[in-house]
Amino acid sequence: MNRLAKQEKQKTRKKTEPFHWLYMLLLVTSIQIISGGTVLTQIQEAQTEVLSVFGGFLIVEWLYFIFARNLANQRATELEIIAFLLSGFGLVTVASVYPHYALKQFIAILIGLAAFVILLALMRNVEVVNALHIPVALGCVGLLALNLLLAKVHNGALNWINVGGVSIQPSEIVKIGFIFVGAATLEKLQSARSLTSYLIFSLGCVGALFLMRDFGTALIFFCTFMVMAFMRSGDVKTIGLIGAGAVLGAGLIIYFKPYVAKRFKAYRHVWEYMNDSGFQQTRVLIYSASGGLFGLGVGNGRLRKVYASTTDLIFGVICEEWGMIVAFCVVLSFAFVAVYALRLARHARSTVYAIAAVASAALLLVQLSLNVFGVTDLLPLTGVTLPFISRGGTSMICSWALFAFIKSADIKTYPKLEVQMEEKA
Amino acid sequence: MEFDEIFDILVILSRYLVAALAVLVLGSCVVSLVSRQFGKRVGSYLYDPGSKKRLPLTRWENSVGRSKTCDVVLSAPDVSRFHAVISKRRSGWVVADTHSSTGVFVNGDTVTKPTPIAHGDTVSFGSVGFTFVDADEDDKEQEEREKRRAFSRSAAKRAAAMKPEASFYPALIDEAGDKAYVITCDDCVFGRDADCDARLRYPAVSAQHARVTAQGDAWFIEDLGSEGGTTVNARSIGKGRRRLRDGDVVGLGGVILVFNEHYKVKNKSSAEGR
Repeated sequence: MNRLAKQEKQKTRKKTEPFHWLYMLLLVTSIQIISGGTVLTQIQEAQTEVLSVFGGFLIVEWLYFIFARNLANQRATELEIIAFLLSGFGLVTVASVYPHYALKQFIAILIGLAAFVILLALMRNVEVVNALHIPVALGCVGLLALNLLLAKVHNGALNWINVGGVSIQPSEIVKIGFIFVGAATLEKLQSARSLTSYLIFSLGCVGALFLMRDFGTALIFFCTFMVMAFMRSGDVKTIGLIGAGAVLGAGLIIYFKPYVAKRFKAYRHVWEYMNDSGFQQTRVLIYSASGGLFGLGVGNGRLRKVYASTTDLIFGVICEEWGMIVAFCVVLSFAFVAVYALRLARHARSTVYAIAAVASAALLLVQLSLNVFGVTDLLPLTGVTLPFISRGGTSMICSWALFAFIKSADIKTYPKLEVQMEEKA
Repeated sequence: MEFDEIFDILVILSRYLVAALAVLVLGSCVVSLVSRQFGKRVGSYLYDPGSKKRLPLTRWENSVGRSKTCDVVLSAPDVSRFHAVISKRRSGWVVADTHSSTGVFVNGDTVTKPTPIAHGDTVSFGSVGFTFVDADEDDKEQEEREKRRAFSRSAAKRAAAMKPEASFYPALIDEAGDKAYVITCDDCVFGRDADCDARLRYPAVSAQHARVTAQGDAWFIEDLGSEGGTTVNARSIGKGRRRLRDGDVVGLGGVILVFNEHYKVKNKSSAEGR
């Protein structure tokens, strides 16, 4: 009887979990050990510090999975596998260019992981999400207002503030709040009129980002808003109207504020400005091509010497030093996450989860597109980061938090709820 | 071969290995996603007594309206495109009007704010009315019915086995003494419903009014949340259980019956039939 039950259980597990979590984790760990080891042999300074950081990262990764599988009873950990894989790529790339920055990046991963766990716990109860959405909305507006008052111009944008010696980018934190507020619909679902308050909130956020001249993030917010507005209202006409209004607004801004258009004058003409405003894009194109399928190897690239190589241009560094295959894997990871979010949303028990998951995936995809297509001159270069990989604390925290929204849509994240629902079914 | 050369080969190999492993990880994740099965869970539903159709409420928030994007699509002309939302909260199910033109009604009352709905309530969207069926309550009722049927079967078997006593059953007899409600099972429900073990066709008696159960040799009566209440010897039994003794006077919403522990039935089949 017991043997038969065990066999049945194993069969079910194999059906639902074709690969054992340990196998996936060992693969990711192998990538991290090999890439980390290569970085350690290449860097000339702070080797002990970088070694400790890599060791710490691996310990945290394993502890997380052991805790999640055995204590929190998590049965679907593909998202975390992807998150650790991408974070690992980011950490080794940043450590190879700026060894002293590895510790900061590692701390950002730790905070991001904590944010991921806290947000998952918070999302368990949709009524709590609904109750908190107004304070969170006010917090977001306040944070952006504070940014406008306190921030100093950095790379032409006004989006960094200094708190106790630590630079933070409030717009990255607001991304989390933006999705949190937009997902809290409950009884206001599918009502075009209920969009008004969210539209005002979104206009406030996008407007503040325009004033900060952070056009890349403003575009990310706008695209995410469109996705959320459609999911909240289901009304194509309203969304079309908002889209048309936004295009008209953007046209008016370019007409009355020509300096906005000037920032993108090199777009589609980077070779004409290859030593000026098209410098970064042309170098990314040249050096990425020289990387080939398997790359030149860590430390052998030239793009690392170009300004913003570990932030806006990090995708180029990966192409050049790790090769096109790894770079495609990075891009496909986000595509996988987007498909995963869509599938979860279709079967999500609450619309709060469905909207949060799809909006988070959309935000990540838009950000990835702006970064990858921006540095390759397929889209204007707006200076947004590559989620999980680029150097930057707030960006890393935001990326982990967005993954929490996607994971919360999975019924397997909350095993007790799953048991209750299966009993009912 | 010198150490430097071996090292260089290892570094080159590592690049190939990292690329291969990255593809393997991503491939494994994709296979996991493809093989993942998401069962559609149907919980509560709206029941249309006219067409006898069930409209399942599969999520915690279900939009109702004429638009095809709604979770519950109603094609009636007086239903708005996005008419209402039925959602499940911790406290239970609620219905909210989402600015519809013809309104939402619960048991005839207009819904102006999110209003709780209970199992069996009539929920109308404009002129289209449904009975709300809560999955939890429905399951409970189903279980109760199954349980009663099982008890009936076992009691009938026991009665058949005890031939000498087969002609004596406990019963509730009306005041005039011309109607006896014979208790043929260990768990007998009295009420107005056709499903009840003993059917009392009086308006004062609730659909499922009271239950008489056997525990060893003793018989007990409990109220099933009836409107008129249940009394034993003119005392309300409230929500508790009261033991019945021979000759006790039982009131079911004003209908007076006398408990007879050894009521004589002419034959077994007639006892089961009553």
